[in-house]
Amino acid sequence: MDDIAIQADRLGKRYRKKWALRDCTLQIPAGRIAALVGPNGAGKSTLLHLAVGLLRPDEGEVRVFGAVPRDNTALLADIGFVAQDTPLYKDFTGADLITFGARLNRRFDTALARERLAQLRIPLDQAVGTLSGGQRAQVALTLAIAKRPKVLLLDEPVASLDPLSRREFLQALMGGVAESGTTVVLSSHLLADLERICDYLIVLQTARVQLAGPVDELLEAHRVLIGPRGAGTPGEVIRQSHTDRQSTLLVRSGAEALPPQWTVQDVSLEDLVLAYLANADAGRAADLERAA
Amino acid sequence: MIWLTWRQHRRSALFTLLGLAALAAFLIPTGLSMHHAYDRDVAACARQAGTGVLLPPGMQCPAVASFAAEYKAYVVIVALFLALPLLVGLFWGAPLVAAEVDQGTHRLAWTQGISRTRWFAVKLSLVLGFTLAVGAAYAALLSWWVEPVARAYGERFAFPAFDVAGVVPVAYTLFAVTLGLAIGTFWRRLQPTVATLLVVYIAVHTAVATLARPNYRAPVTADLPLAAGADDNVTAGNWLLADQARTADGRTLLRGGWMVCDTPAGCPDGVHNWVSYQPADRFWQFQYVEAGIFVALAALLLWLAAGRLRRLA
Amino acid sequence: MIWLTWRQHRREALFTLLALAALAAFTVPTGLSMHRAFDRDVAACLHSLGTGVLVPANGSCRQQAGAFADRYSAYRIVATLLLFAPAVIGLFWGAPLVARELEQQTHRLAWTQGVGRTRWALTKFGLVLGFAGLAAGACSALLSWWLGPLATALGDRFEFPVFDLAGPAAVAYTLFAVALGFAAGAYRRKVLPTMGVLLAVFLGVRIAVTVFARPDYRPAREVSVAASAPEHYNQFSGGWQLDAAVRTADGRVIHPNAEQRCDKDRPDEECDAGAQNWVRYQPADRFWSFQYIESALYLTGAAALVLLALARLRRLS
Repeated sequence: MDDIAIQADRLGKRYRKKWALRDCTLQIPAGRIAALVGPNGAGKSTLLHLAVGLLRPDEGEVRVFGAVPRDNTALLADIGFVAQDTPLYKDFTGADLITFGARLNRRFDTALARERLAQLRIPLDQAVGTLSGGQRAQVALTLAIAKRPKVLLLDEPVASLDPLSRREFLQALMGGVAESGTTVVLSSHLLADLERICDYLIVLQTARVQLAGPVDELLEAHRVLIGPRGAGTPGEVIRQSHTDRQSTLLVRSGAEALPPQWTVQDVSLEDLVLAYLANADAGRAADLERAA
Repeated sequence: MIWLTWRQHRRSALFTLLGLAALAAFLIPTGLSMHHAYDRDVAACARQAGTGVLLPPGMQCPAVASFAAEYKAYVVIVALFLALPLLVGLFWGAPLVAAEVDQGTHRLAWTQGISRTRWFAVKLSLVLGFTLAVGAAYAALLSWWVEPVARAYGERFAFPAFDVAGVVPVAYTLFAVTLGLAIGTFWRRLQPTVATLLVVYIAVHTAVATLARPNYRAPVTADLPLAAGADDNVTAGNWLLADQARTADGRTLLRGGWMVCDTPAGCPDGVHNWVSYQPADRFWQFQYVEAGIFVALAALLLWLAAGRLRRLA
Repeated sequence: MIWLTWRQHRREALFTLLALAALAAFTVPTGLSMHRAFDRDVAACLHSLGTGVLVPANGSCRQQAGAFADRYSAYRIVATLLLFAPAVIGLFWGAPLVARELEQQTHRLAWTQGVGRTRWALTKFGLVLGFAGLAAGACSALLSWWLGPLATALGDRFEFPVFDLAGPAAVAYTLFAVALGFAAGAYRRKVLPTMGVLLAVFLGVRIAVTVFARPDYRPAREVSVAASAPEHYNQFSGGWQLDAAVRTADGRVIHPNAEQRCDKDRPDEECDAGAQNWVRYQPADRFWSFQYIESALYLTGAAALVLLALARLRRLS
């Protein structure tokens, strides 16, 4: 049985009256590259902040490798975190930031940091505020990786980057964690970036986990069924769309046989995510209607 | 654009108006009591005393001394009001450009469909209009408030009472705001802008007040008799630049003060007092000259800032 | 953490040291010349006058002291301007420390390294307060020496603004201002509004304490001397004259804020009726206890603000 890198049990966080995250239960196994997707305001940043100890839960608990992250400086040594918009001290040079990392962390691989930045051709003697967005993101990632953490948490690291920088960043990320087996959780509101690299998926919408699990298992458990309209609903329907004569259903089902009138297609990760997000939206709309 | 400017600055505007109200809440009651006491006890004597450097012989205004003693506490406060134009410059001038560029939001504001120059012009004119109005308000309040105390101490024409009264506070405010603006286009970050603004404003103000101001017009010099018990005419509002005691042939005996003899018999022969001063009736001339200097500086800074803004990305 | 604090604040540190150097460059030569002039012209007279509460009326040093004070009156303006120093230090050291970190979101970088936010805050607060305290201490020691002659010549060592500049209270104001910057920054989270709050609150507190609290730290003393007596209240005692009046023998005020001198040669009905010069004051030897009381007040405030800031920071992310 693998180690569980991040475990959340009915985790919840509230800002005044509004719940930013509610009833979140997850188990991300060690060594996985997990994608945390959802629209803006879904609770992705909140979840990551709770996992790194910046926030304290209002309900439930979160543990990283079995330890509670809040006020736990020993655990911080094992967590690499890059916040949204990759904040850095703009007047620090690359060399300053490496010194910063070395001084504030118990374990910091200065040589690795310098080597990475050299490979990426990022100058060490220039204030990072003058670098491009892509370069700044690379610097922030390097600082996190140089801690040699067990877990890397990245909050929308590529959101404001151009496509080329995005690809370079993800490549650098994969290169950095390939050998070490570091668990990675990165959030984004664009799935296309993460599709290629992640093997674990978490879908967040309106403060709740809509879907979570290893990608291969999820893909196996869902199918697209195309059949005549009105032919019934085999399995749990996640999403459906109809034309005059035909229904297209996305269902979650077991391996049971299906009636012959249905044509089965493999589901893509993107379709899966969109379906669950739309479902949650519809569910919420129905809730609002009922409440009204 | 007007809406955007208001939305961006409404908190500052509220804060500023509250500050002005607090200032008025202090100045008005205390000012009324001071004016009342002055008009009742000192004014008549002051009128009779005239505008000479010395009181008419044999005349005394004892009420001046007791008025001065009663309101001694307010004298030190006057210097604190020198900070007002600087504060306006700090909170209105410095962030105009520096804060916006600092946060990168200038890229949002400047690519919305209006030209950079138009953005600058509208925002600036609104802010300048507001700060000038605020400056005029506290200039008027302070001029009125400081007059009795300034006269009682003979300091009306001197630093710092001169600097907080009349029209110069408005000019200083204009200068401080445009200085903050110009420095902001240079540093493009808030903290260095604020620090530089502080240093440069204080340096320029001090330089002008101590070096330039005494020389706007050539001072008047006068020889004064060592007459027994002649007192200096404090309420006249003359600005005494140098007082000395000199011998008959012009050699300086005593610097930084006059020779005082209590009785006619005790006065040494051949010695007279000498004074170099700016007469009180030049007060407004000097106000306008100094205001003009700072307005000119402000215009220069505006031109510099506009030039730099065009080149900023 | 020490390295980080230095790296982030080295510009302010340099600036402060330069300002101190400039202050010293101005005050040392002028102070030496003032001390010389004082020792030569005024000291002897004041020495013979003594520092008692009541001194002979005609042995006054007013002539010498007055001439000395007039000569150096311009310097008092410099002193008054330095009243702003604690606020300025609060603005540049206290306000940006927390507010800028939060405004630019770099706290999410700093608090997730290996140090944790409490240690981050305590180290930064401690180092900055220490440095600000040292700078304020140096400044106030320098001013105490520099203003010494002028304050003695005018007898206002115990009064505003000399009291506020030339003693340990100035250090306490500075620490209070810096701590106020921390707390305001933790709440407002942006630099400019924090500066605004700092100035408003600091000014309010300073005015309130100076005007309303300070006169009553200890109960004032009163002295009443017949106007015809050869003695009067000693303006050069270094005490704090709170109130003065000419009163009748039974305590009714005739002239507020005045002192009456009765001459045997010039008859005066008030003098004949037994007019008294009455003064309410704080004696000079209480100077230090007042400094300590006021310092304690501001230091307690500073400590409370630091705790407030720490508590607020714990809730942020």
